[in-house]
Amino acid sequence: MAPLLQLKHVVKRFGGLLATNDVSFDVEEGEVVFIIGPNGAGKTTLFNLISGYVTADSGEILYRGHNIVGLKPYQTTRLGIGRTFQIVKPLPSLTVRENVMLGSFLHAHSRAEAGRKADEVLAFLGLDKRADQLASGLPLAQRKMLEVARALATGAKLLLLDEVMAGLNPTESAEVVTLLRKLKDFGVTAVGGVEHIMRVVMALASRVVVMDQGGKLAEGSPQAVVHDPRVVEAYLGSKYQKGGAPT
Amino acid sequence: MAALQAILNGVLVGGIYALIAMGMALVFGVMRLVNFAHGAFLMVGMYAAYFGYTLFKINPYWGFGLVGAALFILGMAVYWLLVRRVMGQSDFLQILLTEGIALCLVGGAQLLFTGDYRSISLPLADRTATWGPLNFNVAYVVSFVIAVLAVTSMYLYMKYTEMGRAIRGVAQNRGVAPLMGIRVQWISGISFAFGVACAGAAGALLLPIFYVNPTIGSPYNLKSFVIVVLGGMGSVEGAALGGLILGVTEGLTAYYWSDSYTQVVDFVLFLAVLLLRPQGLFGKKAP
Amino acid sequence: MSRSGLVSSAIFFGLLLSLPLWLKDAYLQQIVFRIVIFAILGMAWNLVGGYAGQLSLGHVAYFGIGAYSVALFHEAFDWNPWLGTLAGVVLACLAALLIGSLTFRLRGPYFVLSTIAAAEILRLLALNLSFTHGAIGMIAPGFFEEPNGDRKTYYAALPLLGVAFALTAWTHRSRFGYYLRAIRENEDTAMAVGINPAVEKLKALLFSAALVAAAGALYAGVFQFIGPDSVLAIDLSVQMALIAMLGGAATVWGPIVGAVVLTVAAEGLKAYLERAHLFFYGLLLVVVVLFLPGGLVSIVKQRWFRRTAARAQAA
Repeated sequence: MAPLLQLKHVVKRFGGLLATNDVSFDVEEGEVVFIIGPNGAGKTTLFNLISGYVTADSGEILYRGHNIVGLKPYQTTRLGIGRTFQIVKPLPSLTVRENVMLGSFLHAHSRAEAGRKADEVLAFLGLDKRADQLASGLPLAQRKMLEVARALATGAKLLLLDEVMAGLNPTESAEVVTLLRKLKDFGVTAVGGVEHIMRVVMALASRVVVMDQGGKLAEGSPQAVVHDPRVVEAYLGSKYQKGGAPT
Repeated sequence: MAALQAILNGVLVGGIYALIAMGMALVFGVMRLVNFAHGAFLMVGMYAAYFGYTLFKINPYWGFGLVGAALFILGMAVYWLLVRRVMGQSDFLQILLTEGIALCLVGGAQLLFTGDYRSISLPLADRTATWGPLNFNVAYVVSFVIAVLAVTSMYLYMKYTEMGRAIRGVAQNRGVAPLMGIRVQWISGISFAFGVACAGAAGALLLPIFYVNPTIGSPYNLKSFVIVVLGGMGSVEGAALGGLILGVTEGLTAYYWSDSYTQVVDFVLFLAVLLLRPQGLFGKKAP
Repeated sequence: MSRSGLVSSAIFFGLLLSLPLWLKDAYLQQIVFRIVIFAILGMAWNLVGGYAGQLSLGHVAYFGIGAYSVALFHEAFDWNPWLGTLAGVVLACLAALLIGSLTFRLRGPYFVLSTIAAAEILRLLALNLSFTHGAIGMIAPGFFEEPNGDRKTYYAALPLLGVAFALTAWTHRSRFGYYLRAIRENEDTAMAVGINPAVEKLKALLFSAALVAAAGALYAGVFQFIGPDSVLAIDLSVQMALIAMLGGAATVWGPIVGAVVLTVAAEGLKAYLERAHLFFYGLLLVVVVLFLPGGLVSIVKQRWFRRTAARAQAA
């Protein structure tokens, strides 16, 4: 079966800056893939390219075999590509449920149906108790969950999670991990972007793609990548070289 | 030859436009705020000059500086009491606020001075000089000269004084400025006050030439928008050049077509630039 | 709609429908008529400015199109004002498509300025073109024959108010309304959930323009004399925004509350200060923006939400 998502030699320049330098990799359905790279490595640009906020200068991005380069973000969403942002932006004047309904409205035929679907997603993510609270009142971790809920509610089959762990303490991160595990059962393929390899990544990811300055540095299983000398040199520093465990 | 005359008049008027627009460009450059009350402040300056002349016999050309100073203080007050509170909020609210301020100013003027058209007659204004085939209305020329001097001094001030550098610093990078010890709010207030002062002082320059009435400001509001967009939002030099371009374009429109179409041309030009070349003729960033 | 909402609407429209029976004073009737028109205008603007968050200060363009259509088609082709109104609505929608597709490409102050520009271009055209008779203005035919022409026109205005109200109430609860609000908050986020902002904004503008044009046509039929300064002045655009903001943007009752408060206050003010209403509008606008951006309705809503949140916390 063809991979769900395929990037083939994708290039993107912003003026003189080469933000995405000939990046190619595949994502199979049901996988959990993490894209690793510090700020500026090009993760967000990659997410923008896939979801359509930015158009590739050259190369192909195939979703279910169809080239989606040039599509607008609302078009990729309608195809099943969901996306969360690094800086979460819930609609503060709407309740949690209403925020999620924004997503479920995409395929629902009535407000009632949208509400039901939203409740389903909220229950799945453990946010159902806060359904009637204003989104502005949520703490950061819940707001991130809300973003994910909203994206799921659109019926996304491929979920792009940009820096979903950023700003979370270990307890909250653990919740996210549990969520990511559940996604697989929900039929959703997840691609996450994180700044550095963490224990979570090691545990969850079926595959990892390491980026450096816009280009793909390495790819493979987390175990393999962590021992790749190029990666070690670029990112992991002395802790790893001394054989220490990742944090 | 008559076309040349039209161009000349356009240049003269354009110098004054440059002064007006420069104020708006400054405010936008530093605060990212489009001051919809800009024209209203021009009107206030015009009335101030009017009463300065009729009550205290202060010639608006000498009183130019006084009017500028008075409007500077007014601008500071308006910033401190009102505008400061919407900085950092949505464009929506900021624009509505300045629109509200404009209405207060225009409405206040209507209340205090009624809608009557008033004018002063300086002996200077009745004189015309000739240079070859071209005629100069002396008042226009004097206004032009003073406006150019004002614009140039502002430009030099921005470039060479510490305050000027601080202002440009905030305009270039509002986020970084505090790290360099610049008090952004203070600079915003000063810039706003400067902007208002430009408008008001320009009003003093217009008094010998035009009638004053509470609604006199709104066409200048529009012209400032056009000029600032033409010159590239936030670019003070651009506003100066844009002023001249608009002045000449209007002059030619009045000559070849009709006087009443100059406003239409203003708007069409405005839309055309916004849609076709949003960074303006000289601007760097696209909106 | 919620039960309390239905009850309030029933009472409200009942009052309006029965008005000529219990309010005999002609002066007061005129004020109510003006409130009705302003409420229609406020609700129409609210779709674009309140729900979608697009600060259009050029809505008067559609008002003018409606008004001038009635006058022009009557003068040129001897059309009755009903047909003229229909033509006005169609023309306004076409104008909305054109203006919207151009202006919605712009953001922030550029968008606002471009809407002002569009309306002012129309005003200047009306002022300068010969067939609109320039500053002299035009005469428009009344909708009904005397006697009781005014009362009949009032009854003609009420269905329009009903349409505006129903449209707003529907928008508020529908996917369309949620989508508009998403666009207002953040267009990028809106696109992330599958919304095409350009299309939704245009839809809102079309509804809005149609309502405003119909109101303009009504105005022409009642006052029977229109000119560039009465039906195409930017003041009216600002007033529409003020009505919606004062009462509460993106709410169903907000514009109605705003229309009532503004009209009554302006009338009351006229008794003391003849020329003060422009200043008064400015002052209101400043006060609303600084201290009550959610409008008068928000005072009620805040209390309701505090109670609900308290209940949720306790649960």
